[in-house]
Amino acid sequence: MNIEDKSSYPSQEHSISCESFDTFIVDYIDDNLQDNQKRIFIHHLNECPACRVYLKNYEYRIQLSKSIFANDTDKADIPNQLVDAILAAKKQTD
Amino acid sequence: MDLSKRINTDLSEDELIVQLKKGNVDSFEFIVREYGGYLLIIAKRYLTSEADAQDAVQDTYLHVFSAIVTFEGRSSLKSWLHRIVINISLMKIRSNKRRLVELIDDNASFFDANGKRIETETEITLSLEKLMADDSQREYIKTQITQLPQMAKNLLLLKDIEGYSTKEIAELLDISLPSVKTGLHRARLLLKKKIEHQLR
Repeated sequence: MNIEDKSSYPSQEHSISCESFDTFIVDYIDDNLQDNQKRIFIHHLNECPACRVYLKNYEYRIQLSKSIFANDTDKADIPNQLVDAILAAKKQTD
Repeated sequence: MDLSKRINTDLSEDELIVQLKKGNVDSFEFIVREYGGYLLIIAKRYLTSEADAQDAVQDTYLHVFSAIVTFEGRSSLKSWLHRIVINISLMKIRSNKRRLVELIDDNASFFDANGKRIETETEITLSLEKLMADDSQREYIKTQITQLPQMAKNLLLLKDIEGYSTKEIAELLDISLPSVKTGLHRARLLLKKKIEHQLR
């Protein structure tokens, strides 16, 4: 749903607090919210500038974590003693 | 040229798997040398001690040696090894499971009595590209992630780095789905507390 699309907003009685908004975040990011939950979530997002920035920064840090570990396996060396230990352990099990 | 090097150049992955299933010793040595370093890095993300990480890699290969006959090739060999080393690393730390509620201060401290957010953040304007180009910044943030409490680290690694679903994580960690979601959210907030000053 486009968060700018206000046509499908729930009525005021369905609005939620920032604290409740927080409990939806994990499922929202995974796209696991049911339609009505998503409408309520986005309604709050449109009404609350603090939660908009909060969510944007939250998503930024997730992307950051992903990026930090993206290339850390590039220089992957295994110590020779570990190779020897694995091969010796295998021999014992043969 | 030694045989493990010849395997590298001569065999496709399908052929390599056939050789592994036949018990070909050189092909086993080849996958140890080819993927062992990669698996060690993955294990070190979860296990703090080098010795424990090496044990996890060794256990991974011992499992692979006995289970290769059941490998159906639905993923690549590397992906299969990757999943096994994560499982084994998690098994090694399962005894240290921390209570999720200990991950961060009570949520109530972020909201007023009406559930309204108390602190208004300013938007992070530092570009990810710029941050990733800064070795010391990158290393600092990586250290903050790897030094999170064990359960917070596991949740963050499995979800945000490995890309497992919350349902898969619940199975891997043997905890309930709501606990995964709450714990993951708290782990992310814990990391936020540790790194937000670096992002200004």
